[in-house]
Amino acid sequence: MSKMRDRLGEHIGPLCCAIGVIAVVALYAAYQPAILSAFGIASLANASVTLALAALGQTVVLMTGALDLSIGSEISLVNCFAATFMGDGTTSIVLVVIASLLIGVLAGAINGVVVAYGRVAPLIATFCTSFVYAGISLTLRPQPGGSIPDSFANLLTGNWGLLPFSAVLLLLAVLVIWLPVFRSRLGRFILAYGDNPDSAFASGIPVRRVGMAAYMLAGLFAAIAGLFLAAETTSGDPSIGNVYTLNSLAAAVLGGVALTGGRGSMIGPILGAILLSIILNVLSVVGISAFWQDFIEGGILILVLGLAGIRLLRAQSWTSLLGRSQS
Amino acid sequence: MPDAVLRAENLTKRYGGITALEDVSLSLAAGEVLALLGANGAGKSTLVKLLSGNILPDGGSIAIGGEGRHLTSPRMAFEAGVATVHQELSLFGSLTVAQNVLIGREERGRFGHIREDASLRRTEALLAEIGVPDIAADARVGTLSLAQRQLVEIAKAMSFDPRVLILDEPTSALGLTDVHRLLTVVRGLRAKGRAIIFISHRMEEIEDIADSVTILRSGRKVGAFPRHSFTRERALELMLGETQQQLHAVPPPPAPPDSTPPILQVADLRLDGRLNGVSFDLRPGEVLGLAGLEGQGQKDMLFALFGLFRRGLRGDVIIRGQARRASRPLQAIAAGLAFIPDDRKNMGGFMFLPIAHNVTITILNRLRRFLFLDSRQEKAVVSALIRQLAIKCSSADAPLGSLSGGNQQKVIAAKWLAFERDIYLFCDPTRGVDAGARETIYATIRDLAAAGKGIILYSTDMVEFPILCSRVLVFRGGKIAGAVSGAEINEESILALSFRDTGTVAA
Amino acid sequence: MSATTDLQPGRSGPRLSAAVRRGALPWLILAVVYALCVIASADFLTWHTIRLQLIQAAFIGLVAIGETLAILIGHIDLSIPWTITLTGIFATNLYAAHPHEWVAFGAAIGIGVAVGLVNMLGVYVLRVNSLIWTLSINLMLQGLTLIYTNAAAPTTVVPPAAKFLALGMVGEIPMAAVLWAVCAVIVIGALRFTPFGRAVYAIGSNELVALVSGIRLGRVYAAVFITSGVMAALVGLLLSGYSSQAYLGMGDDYLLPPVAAVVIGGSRLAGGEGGYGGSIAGAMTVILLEAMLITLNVSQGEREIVFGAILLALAFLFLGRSRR
Repeated sequence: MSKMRDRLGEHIGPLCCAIGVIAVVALYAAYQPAILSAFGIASLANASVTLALAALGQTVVLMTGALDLSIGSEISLVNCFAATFMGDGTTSIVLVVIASLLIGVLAGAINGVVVAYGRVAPLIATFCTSFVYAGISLTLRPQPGGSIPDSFANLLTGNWGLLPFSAVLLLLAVLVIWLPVFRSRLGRFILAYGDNPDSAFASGIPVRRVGMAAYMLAGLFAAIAGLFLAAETTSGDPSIGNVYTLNSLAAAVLGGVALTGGRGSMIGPILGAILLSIILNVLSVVGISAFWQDFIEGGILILVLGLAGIRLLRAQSWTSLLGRSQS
Repeated sequence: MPDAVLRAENLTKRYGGITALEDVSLSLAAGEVLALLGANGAGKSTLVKLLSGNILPDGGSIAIGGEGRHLTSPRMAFEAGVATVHQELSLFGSLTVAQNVLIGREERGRFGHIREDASLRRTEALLAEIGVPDIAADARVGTLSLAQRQLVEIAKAMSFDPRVLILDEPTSALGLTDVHRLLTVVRGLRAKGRAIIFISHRMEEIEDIADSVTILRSGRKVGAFPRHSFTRERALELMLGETQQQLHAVPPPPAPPDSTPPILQVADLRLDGRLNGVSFDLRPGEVLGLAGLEGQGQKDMLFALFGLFRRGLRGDVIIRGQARRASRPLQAIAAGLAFIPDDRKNMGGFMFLPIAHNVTITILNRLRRFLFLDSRQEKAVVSALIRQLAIKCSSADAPLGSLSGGNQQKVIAAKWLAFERDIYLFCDPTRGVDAGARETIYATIRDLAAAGKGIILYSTDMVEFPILCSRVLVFRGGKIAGAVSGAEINEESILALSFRDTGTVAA
Repeated sequence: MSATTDLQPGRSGPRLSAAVRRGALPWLILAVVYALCVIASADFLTWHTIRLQLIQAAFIGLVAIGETLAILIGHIDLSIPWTITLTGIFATNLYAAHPHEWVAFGAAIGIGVAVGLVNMLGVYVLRVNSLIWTLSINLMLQGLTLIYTNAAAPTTVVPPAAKFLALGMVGEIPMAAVLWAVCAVIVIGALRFTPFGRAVYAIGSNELVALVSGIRLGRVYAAVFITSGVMAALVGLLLSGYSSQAYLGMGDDYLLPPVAAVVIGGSRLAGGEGGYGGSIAGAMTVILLEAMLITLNVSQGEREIVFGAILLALAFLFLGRSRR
């Protein structure tokens, strides 16, 4: 019985998100049936994939019990880099894609070094590096601009019947990165470290390398998100990633990932990201002015964070309530 | 001994000014169970941490299988063949038994992926080998009982196929049935030729299982004998040392007359599963002891009285005739309670702040003149308490963390002496505290009792009850299993009550 | 043995000398940065230039009051930028409609108190991480400001008092610096000599110990975040006075610099150690650094890199190490 409740508690986040997605899409379709066309689905998918990728990256770090506030800046950085250097030739595209992924991993590695080896508190460390990465994007591209070859843009944003390529990209990211990692020792170590860092150390887990790997994975997901954004907007913008830092966190929390580490799935954050993106998308379609967007986005964030906080407030003793706060 | 599997020589470890371990040597042969005995703070845990690679020694050497080793990490210790089951369990609650046991050594397939079913089978085999086939390898560790987790921990240690297995107080939280089961497991391992270091406070376990006994006191090795020359009396004598022996001579503060109305009445206090209906009275001037094995609800009782549980508390707490059950420490303080915790670092004091600020934190409003703190009065209060409690410090402005554990504990007590309360809750106040500071804390408790305060003392050190308490409640399974008072208070009577019921499992 | 030992190696205990060093270090850093400024341009030797920098530093220094308090209790306030902008725009518009000084200042204080209470609600009551919560509040305030300006364009009518506080002079000394000095004395006094100050350090050192010692946590949290909100709102008004108008994005430069000022000033990001004295040097350092980089024609992007890196370096060296 308690086992069943345990399992249910674990899936309650993703479950709610799935119900939410269905409900919102149904409402949306009732308001604008065109959304169920191939084009409509592709545009919804495109709107969700960047956030889903960012949320996956954030989730890896959350599972270690830390946080990554530089994800948005990493996305901007890769976005600006790609839009600045990607030429029309296939070789150029391939080289820039590889370089972009490496940049993401490198940015993550820097976070990892500072947190795992420098022992700087994760929030502070990634808050600082976010300014460094944002500064690099801004130097690279002081104004939004640059270009992305059509072939690359079409490759990522087109659709094949009802199947948008962006969804395929997300699926590939999950199949090629997420699943192998979490079927291997590294994934097990990430969860164990987040569950109980002292035990992890005592169990001989190379805790520093694990912490570092988590940030590198986050950087990799951010890089893919940045590349996708480049394809979607066919330009580079040094502030395009900003919104994804907090929204990735909201998506992960919505999807049932605990801020305290040790728990998390892949499906939850993806569903959370889709739900969040569609809600924001619906708002603009329903005719709520763009001026309300930030307000509502902030409101959703606060609501989600507040709800996560309330869950924590059920702590029975003051010792566990005050002992658990981070920062 | 030419065939020593483990040989440690002249190990020394210091923390700041305190020497936790000095010049300790021991050696261990295959198939030998060496019991390590010592009071709290004798250096057992330090020795274990040194042997398991958690900390580095300041002096001495460790050889395993005749080969000198420099154990810089737990991982290194595993590889050298030393596996340790620590007192604070090192399991991951959200992972399964198999995932815990084989963490870092999972069965892997061609692509480096974990083969869950093979890992599961290997874990099942391991569990069967150590004699506990009834624990499901795919159960989440968070759902297991404490005793089961202890066994999982042993399975985890055994999965390294170690030559030396260290068990640090594996039985301290277990009921008798589980203890027997664990000892059976240990015997099985000895028969398979493992060398085992076994740490326990319980003499009968040591008599039951040990081949040799080493006794530590205040960081030094004070005795070592083979099993046949081991006696409880001699061991106790060596463990306690002279200062402790003298303590027995001092009689406890007298019990207040029966006619005194109680200052505190607790009726049927319950906290889901942890406290199962506790009722007692406390009279002014009385020192009431809470005894029993660790984790039987004594600590929860004090936490509950002091308002540290936000929810879930049922029953009545009546102070001076008024219902004062607290769900916040502020309410408890207002009702006249003071609380001296055992966890100095996390609950007791501000380690980075000056001693003076730690002491006066409770009386800030009293020290306020108009808007500002009266620094002259503050200085007077602080220096009076430093003198009264003989707190050894360079100045009242030194950070609390720079003091020794005993002096830290005195400072924490001082802050509740500055803010005089009616009822003092002492939660294992002498844990990890040196002999001198103990004396001061004992004297403080006596003084408080003489001044008519009500005192509740929870201690893990049983020698404290006979010298301080006029009545002792023995807890078991979140209930009061029995009470002893006056001359009947001694280790035997308390232990008898702690253990009478067999088969209860602490949760 | 004792419960004070840790499982993981490599941690150091409290260091007295570090605390002493920290008292002087911020001023030493300030001196070095000022020397660099003078090398970059001799203009920094003139009182005119110094005065201009002093006014800028006063703005940072005033919001750093709240930021210092927030950081001392182990938290952070990142809702300052849009509190500034919202207040600047809303209060000046209100003043344009009702030209009484008290209307503008009343509105500013009202906004500051409201933002502070919402921050306290999230950080204390709901126990959400302050960095995330206040950043989200900042986003919401941004939205609120955009919604508001959509209905009412920013005005150039500014209360004279705000103008005077930002641009006025007392002899050769800017009024903003005088205001800053007065506030600084109050804050330093409050932190050193009042029960409130003790409670702030207590909470930042160890919240659980503060709780079991009978500190009223909620009140302290409220005081800290309300102070931060009100100081930000006040600076919003001053900035409108300074530029004779309120505009969107006027608070954008107040996200990182106040935090940098506090950290350069020697307060520990994890809370419990430091004080406002250092933040004063920190605020001046931040402003001089920015001015120097602008003098050297360093782009905005590169400036961000420099600031991020400096903060990171300080956090690494001794200020923001995690306690766990």
